[in-house]
Amino acid sequence: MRTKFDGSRAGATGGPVVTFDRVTRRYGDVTAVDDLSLVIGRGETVALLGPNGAGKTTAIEVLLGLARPDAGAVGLFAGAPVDAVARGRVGAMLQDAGLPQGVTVAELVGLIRGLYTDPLPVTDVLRLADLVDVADRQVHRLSGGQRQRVRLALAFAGNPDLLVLDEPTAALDVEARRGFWDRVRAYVSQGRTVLFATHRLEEADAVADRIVMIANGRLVADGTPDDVKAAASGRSTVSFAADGLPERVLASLPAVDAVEAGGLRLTLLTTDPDQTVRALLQRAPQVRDLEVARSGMEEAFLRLIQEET
Amino acid sequence: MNSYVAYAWLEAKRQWRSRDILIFRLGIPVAIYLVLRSTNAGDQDMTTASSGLAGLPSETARMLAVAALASVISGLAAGPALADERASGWLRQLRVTPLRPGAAVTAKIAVAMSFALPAIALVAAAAGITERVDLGAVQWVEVVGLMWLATTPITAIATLVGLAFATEVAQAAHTLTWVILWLLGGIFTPLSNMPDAVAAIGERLPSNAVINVGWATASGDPIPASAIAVLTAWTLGAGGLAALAWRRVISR
Repeated sequence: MRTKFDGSRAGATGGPVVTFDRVTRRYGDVTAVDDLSLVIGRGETVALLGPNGAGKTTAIEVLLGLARPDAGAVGLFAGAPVDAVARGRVGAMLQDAGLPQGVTVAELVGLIRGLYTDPLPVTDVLRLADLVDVADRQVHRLSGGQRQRVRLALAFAGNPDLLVLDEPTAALDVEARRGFWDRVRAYVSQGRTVLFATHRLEEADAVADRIVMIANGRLVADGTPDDVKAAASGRSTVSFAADGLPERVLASLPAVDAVEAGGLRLTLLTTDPDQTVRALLQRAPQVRDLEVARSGMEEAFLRLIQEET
Repeated sequence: MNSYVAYAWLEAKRQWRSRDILIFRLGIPVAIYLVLRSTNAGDQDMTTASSGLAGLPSETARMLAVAALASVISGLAAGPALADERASGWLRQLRVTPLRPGAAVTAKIAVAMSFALPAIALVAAAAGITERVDLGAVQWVEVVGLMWLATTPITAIATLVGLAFATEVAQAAHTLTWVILWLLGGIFTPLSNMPDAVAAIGERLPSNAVINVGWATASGDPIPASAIAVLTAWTLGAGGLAALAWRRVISR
């Protein structure tokens, strides 16, 4: 099954930032990216979600011009990736990218600023990445979390329109991860575009406004986190407390598949919770303690992957 | 241009700060000179070399030979470290910035050259202070300056070695290059003492051009056109290949 949603998205104005047009990339016998088509518009925050080995890193390498597609075409800001990179439109955080020995944080940020024509002010970079206190410290003396913040700082020091982050929080603990995404959000709040790869479902759900799910190099789902979850689970639950509501009435509400009564609460299984709740409140305004829940990302993910393979 | 300056400046600061780099690239050549001078080792060879080529006194010939050795040692030194940098993934990170491969390679060469000048000058200074080397003021500047400029292709070769080979292989390639440039370049043993086939290789090596530039300048002769041709060819060839290799800095 290929779950696809309407590609036109709110906030996507102007030309597309990223286009994958039937891109395939092989390494020997392994097809790392398989016939991938994708359009990302300006201002979107997109999660490239998939298990390890799904082809996320390869897709990003092709996007950045680090690898050539065997078939298909990749566009970045309506041109070749290498040109977009050369024009300073992109800032990237690669997986496990090393940092040089014998330089300070401020010097390294200074280098990247010097490579771009319109960089962010150095104080903004240090503040955004929470590096003010360690600005004069040698990079190789930093902790893992600090080094990760340096890599983030290098990705946005040049003030690029597109941030590409490959598993950026893999080495961070929960708290550091939250701080990391706060910083990314602060950076992208002015219409910038973000594409990040992750294998963490809750991260994609919490951070992105669009999820592109790939498995075995193929697109398996593309939509808002809610779309993707709904497509994968097909169902949500609406539960509430109410007295004297006949099950017959509830079962006739739109999109309801089943009604379960348990104690004082009633639970409806629905394929469209918005429609169901609207109708429910019209028919039975006395319901209390309303709860709407989606089946989790984890389930959605596993289900889509199983259907694909 | 801006990005070239930014990268060269950071690399210069980074490398000049390293005590290990300073000792190896600047200290070793002058130490070799002082050892050779105090033991008078190689005097025989020096005299042979100079008498066969330019009729230089042995003190001058020894200084020129060690200055050429300084050119090879400091010129090649950055290769293995560059391979390490590539293995760390840092060059990949630079690859996704606007830094152009040509600018990056030029910056690496420029920084290597910033070490070659004092490496050669220190040998010359040690010779000038401890021995009677009979050169005019202008000749001193010419000898140091022109041998330094002639080091350019050697730094280009080191950059290529660092970018083209993985870490362990780069170390071996560096050593091999060093030995070839030193032994076959005719720095201590003149090419005329070598078998023809070996000499034919030697005269096409940049290290041979470096020592030829030194001999010609110290003798007040014009620099042979063949040396200029060899230096230009190696600079363009190795530099161009290094820029291509930088473009391909993909694997980790």
